[in-house]
Amino acid sequence: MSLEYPTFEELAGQIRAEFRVQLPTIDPTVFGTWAMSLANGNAVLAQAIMFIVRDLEKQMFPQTATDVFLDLWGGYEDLERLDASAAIGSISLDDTTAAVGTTIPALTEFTGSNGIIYRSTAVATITATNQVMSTLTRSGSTATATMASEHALATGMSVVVSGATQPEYNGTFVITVTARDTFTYTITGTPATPATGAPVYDLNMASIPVEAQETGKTTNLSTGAQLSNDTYGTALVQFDGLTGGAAEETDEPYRARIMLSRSTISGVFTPDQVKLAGLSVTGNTRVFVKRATYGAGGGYLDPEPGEVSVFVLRDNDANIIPSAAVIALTKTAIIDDGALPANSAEADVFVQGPSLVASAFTFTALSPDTPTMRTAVENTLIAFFEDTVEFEQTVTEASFLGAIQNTQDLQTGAFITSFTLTAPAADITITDGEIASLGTLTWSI
Amino acid sequence: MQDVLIKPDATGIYDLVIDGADFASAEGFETAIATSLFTDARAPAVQVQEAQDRRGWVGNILYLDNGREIGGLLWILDQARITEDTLNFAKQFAMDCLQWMTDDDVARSVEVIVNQSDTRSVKIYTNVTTVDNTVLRYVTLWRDTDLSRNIS
Repeated sequence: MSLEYPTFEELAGQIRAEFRVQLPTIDPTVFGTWAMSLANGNAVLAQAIMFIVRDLEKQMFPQTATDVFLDLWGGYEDLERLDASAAIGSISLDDTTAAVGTTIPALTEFTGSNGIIYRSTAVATITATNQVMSTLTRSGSTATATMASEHALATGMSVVVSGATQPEYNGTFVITVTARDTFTYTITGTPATPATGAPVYDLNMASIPVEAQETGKTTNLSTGAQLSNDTYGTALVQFDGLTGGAAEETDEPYRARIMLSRSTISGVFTPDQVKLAGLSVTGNTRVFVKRATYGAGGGYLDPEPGEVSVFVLRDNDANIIPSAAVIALTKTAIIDDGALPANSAEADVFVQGPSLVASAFTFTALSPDTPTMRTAVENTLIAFFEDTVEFEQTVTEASFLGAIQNTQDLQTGAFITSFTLTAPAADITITDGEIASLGTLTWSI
Repeated sequence: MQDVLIKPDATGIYDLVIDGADFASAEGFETAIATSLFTDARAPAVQVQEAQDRRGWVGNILYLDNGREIGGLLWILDQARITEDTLNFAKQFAMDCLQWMTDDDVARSVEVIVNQSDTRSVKIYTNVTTVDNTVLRYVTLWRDTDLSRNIS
C-alpha cells in the first residue's frame, strides 16, 4: 500500500475544473487571467500541505523516520543516539627533553600532529624500562625482536639493544613497532639468526594514557604519530593508535539498531541482544556473535555453553580491526547492556577483532575500460566486502564474480560488458575467527 | 477576454468584486493588465543580487519549464526616485509583463506609455488593439508602494 499524492499539475487542473463549474463564462486556462493565477496559487498552497502530509507519513514509521522523529522511535526501544566520541589510547614519551624521574601529571596537554589537543588521563613517570627479548631473529638487514609480554614502545623511538652474543644486534636503533609485543630495526652485517645470548632492550620512557579534547573521526591518530608538549617534548603514539573517535551517530546506523531492537525477542544473552550491546559503542559498525557448542574446548574461537564470543569491526576507521581500548569498551557494554546471565562469568565474554583475510584482485581485461568504470568496480568490491561478506563464511567465486558482473558506472550509466579476473581464481576460503576483506586491486591491462 | 473582476477598494488595494453569490466577472483587459503589472515576477540575478530578495510568486512554478511567468518587475522600482531612467525602466517592465497578450494572440498589439503624474506617482497608459482592431485604453495610476489603482 502506498499513498498517491497528486502532482501540482493535477491539483491545478482540479481547481480550474471547479472554477469552470462555478463561473462558466470565465476560462481559467488562459494565460494572464486572474482566474488562472488564482487556480495556480491555490494549487501551490494545496501541494505545500501535501508535502507536509508526505513527510509526516515518512515519520510515522521507524523504517523512514528521520532526525527527532527517529529519536522518538529510539525512545520506545530505550536506545539513544550515540554521542560523538573522542579518540583514546596511549603515547610513549622518552627522556630526550625531560629527564628520568620526571613526573607528567594527569591533564597534561599534548598537541597532536593534527592540531588537536590531547590530555593525559593519569599520572606517568619517565622510568628506566627494559624487557628481555624471548626471540631476536634476522631476515636480510631487518632484526625482529619479540618479547614475552606486551611492550609500550612506539614506532620512531630509539632503544639500546644489548646482551646478544652477535655484536651486530647490539647498539642504539630507531625501531618500528609491528605488534603489541614485537618491534623491528635495521642492522648491518649478517649475524647468525636467531641471536643467542640474552638480548634485552633499554630506554627511559613513560607510557601515558591520553584522550582527545574534541570529538570526531579526525581525533584518531595512527601508530607513530607525534604529539608535542613544550615542557616534556615529543611523544609518539603506541601500536594501537589513538582510536575510538567518531562523529555523532547518523540516522542510518541508528535506524539499523532500532530495527534490530524491535525485531529482538527480549531474553537472556540472545545473539541479537549481545550484538545490540556491541553496536552501542560509537564507531563499531559490524558485530558478529559466535554460538557456543558442547565440547568445543572453550575460548573465543570455540566457545562452550556459558561463554560468548564476539567479533567486532569498525568500517569507518583507518584500521577496521578494533584497538585494545575499543575491545575493552565493547566488552563492558556487552556485560552491562547484554544482561549477562547467571551461568556466565565476565571472563566468559570474549571480544576481539576477526582476522582479516585480504584477497588481492587482479584484472587483465575490462570492457568498457574507462577510469570511471574502474572506480565503479572498486566501489562495487568495497561494498561487496562490507555488506555481503559474512563472518567465518567462505566467499564463493560465483558471488564475487556476480557482484562484479552487476557493476554499473554511475557516471555514464554503462554496465560492465566483460572482464577477466586472474586473481582470486577460486573461492576465498575462510576458517574460524576470520573474515574476508578486499586486498590490493590491480589493473594489468 | 472574460475574467474575474477585481477593483481597488477604498484603500487602493485590488480585491475581488462580489456579485450576489458569485464573483463578478467582466469582459476586457482591466483585470489582466492589473494582474500582470502588479504580480511580482522573480527578478533575474543581474537585477537583484541576493537570491532571497528576488521575490517572485509561487503560482509561477507551473510555467517555469517554458520560461514564462505571470507578472513583472515594477516592484523593483517601488523605492526609486522618479527620474527619466525610472520611467524608462517602468515602461520596459510594463511592456515585458504584457508581452503574453500579443504572444497568445489575445491582442493584436499593446502600446505602453509611462508618464510622471505628480511627485509621488506615475501613470501607466496601456493601449490595447484587439483582434478586431478596436483600441481599448487603460490608465493605471501607480502611486507610492501599495496605492496602485486603475483610474479608467
